[in-house]
Amino acid sequence: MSETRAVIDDQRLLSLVAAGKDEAFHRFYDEYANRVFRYALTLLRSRHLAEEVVQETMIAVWRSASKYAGLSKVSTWVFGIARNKAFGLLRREERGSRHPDIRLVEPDPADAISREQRVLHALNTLSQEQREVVFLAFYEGLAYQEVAQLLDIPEGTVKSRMYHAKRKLAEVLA
Amino acid sequence: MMTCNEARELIPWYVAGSLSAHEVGELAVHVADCSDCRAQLARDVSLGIDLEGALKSLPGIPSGGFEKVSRQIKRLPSTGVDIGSFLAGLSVGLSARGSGAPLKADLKLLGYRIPLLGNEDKLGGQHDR
Repeated sequence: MSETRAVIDDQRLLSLVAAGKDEAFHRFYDEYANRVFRYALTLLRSRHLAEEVVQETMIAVWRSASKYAGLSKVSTWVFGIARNKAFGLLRREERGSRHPDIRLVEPDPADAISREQRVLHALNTLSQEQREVVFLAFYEGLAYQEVAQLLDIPEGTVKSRMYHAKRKLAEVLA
Repeated sequence: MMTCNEARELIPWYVAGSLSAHEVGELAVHVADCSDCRAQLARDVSLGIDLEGALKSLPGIPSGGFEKVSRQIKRLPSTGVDIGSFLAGLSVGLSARGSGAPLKADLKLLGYRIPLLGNEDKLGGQHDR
């Protein structure tokens, strides 16, 4: 499916969600739940918190779908909501007794660690800001301009975060 | 002409597939003439493949998530509008619940709530929310 087609389909689906169509909301959930979960997992490094982010994000989508103004792609709008929810949860966690898990993934008990796990371990050494940019670029395929819009930071800062993230990853994986 | 620093900032976005055609063109012109940036591009392509594979291997959301969200949506408080006058102590509230409940209307007069519509939960028929 072309990107333009996907964008139009997303907007149509969201308009049906705004009209209160349960089936459309289910489809929207199926389309975005895993993406939001993995984004939140990348940010927070906690499956439990990532699950909460998905729930809060989806409820916010249901309640505010009619407020989507079409100024950005639906995916950018959804990830913006998820980001706010994730940092809100993180602030609540930091005030409370629960703390996020330390690792992005559980360590493999086997001696032979797969390449994927090595890369995930390397990602874990990045700062939260760097991990976020890497995820949005390489998993979501967002352009640096879209990442800048989502994170509300200059495009130069996005490129700089990516540049330093990449250098760190290369060091760790060498 | 693009500098090496500019090229190296764009290379990972090229690898991720999100550069504009114009930027790809400029980058290609630079890389064609710069062996250092060509080597960087090769390293970044390899890293990009690793990153995509690793991020796709992240665990997915556990099953049952949609049902949890649906249950929470059904418990959402009413949303609605109140039209009236504080001075007169008169207001009419019209609300549609978060999910599945029929339309309701109340008249509030000087602190007393007088049901007008749908307060026995018998009206409304099929609603999407």
